[in-house]
Amino acid sequence: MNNEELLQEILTELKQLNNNFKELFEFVKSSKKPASKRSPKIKLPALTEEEIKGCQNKFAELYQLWLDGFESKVRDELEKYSVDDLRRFGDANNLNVTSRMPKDKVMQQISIRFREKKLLTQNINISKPLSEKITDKEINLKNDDET
Amino acid sequence: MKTIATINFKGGVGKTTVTWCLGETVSKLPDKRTLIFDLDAQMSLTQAITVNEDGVPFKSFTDWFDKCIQRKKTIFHALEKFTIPSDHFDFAVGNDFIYRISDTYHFVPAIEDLYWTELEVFDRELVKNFIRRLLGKIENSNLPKYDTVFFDCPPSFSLLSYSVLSCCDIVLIPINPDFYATKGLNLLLNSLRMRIEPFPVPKIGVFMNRAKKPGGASNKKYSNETQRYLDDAHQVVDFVSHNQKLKIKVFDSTIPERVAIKRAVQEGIPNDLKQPFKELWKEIEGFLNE
Repeated sequence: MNNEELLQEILTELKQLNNNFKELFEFVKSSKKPASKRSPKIKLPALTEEEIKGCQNKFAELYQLWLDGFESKVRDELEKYSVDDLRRFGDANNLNVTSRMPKDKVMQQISIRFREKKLLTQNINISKPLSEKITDKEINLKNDDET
Repeated sequence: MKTIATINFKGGVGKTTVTWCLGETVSKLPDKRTLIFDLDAQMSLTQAITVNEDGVPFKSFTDWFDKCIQRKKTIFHALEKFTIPSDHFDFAVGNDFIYRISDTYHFVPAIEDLYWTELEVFDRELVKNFIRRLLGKIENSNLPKYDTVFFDCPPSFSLLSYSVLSCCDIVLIPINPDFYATKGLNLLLNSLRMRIEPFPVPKIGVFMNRAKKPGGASNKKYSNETQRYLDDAHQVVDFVSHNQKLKIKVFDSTIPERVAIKRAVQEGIPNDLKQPFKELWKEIEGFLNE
């Protein structure tokens, strides 16, 4: 095979390769799914005063259940909500929920809020005046002496 | 004369600025004269009056303050005189002790030496009557009569705080919409009675500073975060006031978040904050007169 023939052979192969690529591109292009259209956003009516009150009462009820250790019961109750209702429930309780937030994220926000409320109120105690505290201490010391 | 102390153990809640703005608001009301004390050894308020943002001193005040120190007429010197065993409180109150910001707004600056009061080098029993006696001196002096006196207290329970809280008419607690500020409110309310007794515990007013507006098209009054912590503050206050039999109120009026408020001491209250401060004062006054 002389040089001329070799060059012809390479050019033919290149032409073939080019065609193959063209076909491949066409195939990839045709197999691409059209961009899925987002479902149109349905704007729900704003929360009414009554609805907010109801959601806040429910939140307080669930929080108490959660405090009493019935975590799974709270979860079951929340699972019953549709995602939209759960978002509205979160919004009524001033949680930062968005219109596209998935259910588990909203549930997470509720759980964070429960924990935060617990932390905020767990140390609420009635402090005694200093004089009473000293008296208690003195009494303890006295008891120690006696023993 | 009504006495109002602002305190919060948590620093950075805007205590100094809101106290200043409330004082200014009251001083601009008809026939009202206001006096404000800076009792915080960090001297935030005094420094805000002394130098501008670029560190340039305001000559009129610094000249006066130098004389005040030279003549031993600072609040610390008054305290020193008060705690010296003597049959009377030998400290004359005059224009070298009180600085005139305007005709109706007067000021007693802090001095670094107040740090000694944190170390309790003074007798606690003696100091507790200090502010009461000092106010008596001011009332009986030739100085103008003050309708309202504000105290910017340190973010700790120093001897001076104790002295103020044991004689003031109302304690104001500014809070911010954040977890630690609300948690701090719980701790502060729980410790106030313990620290002030056997003196009667004054009325306590709580208000939200730096309240945030909701974003977007929301028709809520506040951002979710602000509303949550406001609700929490109500819950804490309800619990503590009920259990400790204290007169505590969370005011409906709030002070919105504004960057410009930082310059309020030198440049006056930003225009859009004047009304919120007026509304807050109206509520405080109502609570005072209850």
